[in-house]
Amino acid sequence: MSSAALTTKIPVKDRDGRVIDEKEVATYAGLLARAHEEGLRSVATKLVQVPSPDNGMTAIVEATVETSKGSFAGIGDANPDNVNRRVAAHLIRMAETRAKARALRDAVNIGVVALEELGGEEEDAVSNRAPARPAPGRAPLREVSRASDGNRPVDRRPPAPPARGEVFPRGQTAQAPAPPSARAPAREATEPAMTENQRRWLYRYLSDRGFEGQAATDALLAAAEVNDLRAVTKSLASQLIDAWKEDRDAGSGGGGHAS
Amino acid sequence: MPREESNDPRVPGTLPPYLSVSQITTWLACPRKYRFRYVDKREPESRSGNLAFGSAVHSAIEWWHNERIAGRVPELANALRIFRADWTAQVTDPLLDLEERTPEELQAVGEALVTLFVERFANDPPPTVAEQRFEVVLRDPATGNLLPVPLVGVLDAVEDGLCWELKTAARKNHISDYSLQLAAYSYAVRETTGVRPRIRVVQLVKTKVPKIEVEETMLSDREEAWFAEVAAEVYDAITRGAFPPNPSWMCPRCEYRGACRGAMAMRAAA
Repeated sequence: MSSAALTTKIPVKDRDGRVIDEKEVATYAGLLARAHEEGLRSVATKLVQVPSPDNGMTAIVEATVETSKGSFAGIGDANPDNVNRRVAAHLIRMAETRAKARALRDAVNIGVVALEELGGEEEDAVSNRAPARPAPGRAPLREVSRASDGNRPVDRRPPAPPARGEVFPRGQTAQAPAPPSARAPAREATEPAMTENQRRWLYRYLSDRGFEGQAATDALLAAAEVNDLRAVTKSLASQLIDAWKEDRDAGSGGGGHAS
Repeated sequence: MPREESNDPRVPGTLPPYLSVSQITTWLACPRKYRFRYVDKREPESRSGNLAFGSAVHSAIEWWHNERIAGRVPELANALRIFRADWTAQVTDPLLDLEERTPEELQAVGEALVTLFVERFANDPPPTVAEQRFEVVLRDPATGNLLPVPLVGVLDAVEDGLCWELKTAARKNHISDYSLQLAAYSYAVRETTGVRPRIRVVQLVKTKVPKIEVEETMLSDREEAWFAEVAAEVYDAITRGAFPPNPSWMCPRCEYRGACRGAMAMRAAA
């Protein structure tokens, strides 16, 4: 049985940023744990709208949750105006998380809004208070909660850097919320690609960890949760570098040549 | 009324903020290529495999220099690992044009070249600085006037009275083939320190049996003045918007070949 809290409290602030109240919200991890307890059979998602300039860069995803009690659907949307700026590059992932949170709320009969459905700064507040949540700036990398098989809990941790010599099979986490062909072009069209310096840093870091050649590329693809290096944007590479630097500086890194 | 954005280099604000040897040699090779790269900032249609290879070799050697400058004794195996990591990073670029050579073949050549370099200089004292950036004023030797932009660049390595220039090449070139670049570096060091440096040119040659060639030279006042004259004339041409194409043997591998041919076709149609 999972120990994830079903709800948490977030501060309500006034215009000046002063905390004036608290508000109870559901957590995705708690909703998922409760759904498992209640016989979760599947979580399926469907990309309804790819973000583009014509629709205000709004991604829309529909999620369907099946439990022993029946089938429950939810819609989630995300655009640069209703997400935290740090996840603005990951609109499809965010829309998917929101859709699943809504469907899970109905499935387990929770009326309060889920944290992930909120606009942005609220998530920061909780992440600052609860160490179990991903650190700021790293959360988006694992924000894609893959369709559940009904047994395996969804991995929402930040991208763990591969351990030296660890096998990091490509596609291990892959059950993309949308076909790769629908995801990568959406990013490519709107964001600059990873720079040469970023690419070099990442490969040096992976080399420090024992990954070379194709194994390094596979590890990078898996960590970025994409199927093609062309989908690794400048902002995504930047997030990976920040996360891995943090791990390296914390002493879990390799030889430190990636500089 | 809002002003329309312009790529016209004659419009203030679109002139380059500095000159580099790379800019100068690019304009000399093909002014239109210069325009695509530095004025229009057009995305390239391909990337030179030779440049990517040179970059990976350079960065491994830079790492080796820096380790020694820091007082450590770097192992060859780690320099080779750095090269492989950087080379892998380069070859994953889908735009890379390796010109009928395979990544594996070039990786083996690169490892051999890095090995040759490390073995050749392992017993010498390390340079003082690796990848030393410079920025110096440019003076037109004909008029004595200063150009409105500085000369900016990076020396591969520097030590007392000596600067290094590292080249990877398909065949050994005569040192005079690099005369413009070497004169620029000599000019820059002398402007900065007041002393004309010796320049050590290390050529890492990608022949079937890779080899290393080391030569040293010192340039003259006349050669430095010639560089400054070339730089001034190129800058003048850029400010006048002179960007004619220069069809040559380099066109088939040019990173802007499609855009260039398209531009000419459109001009013909007009």
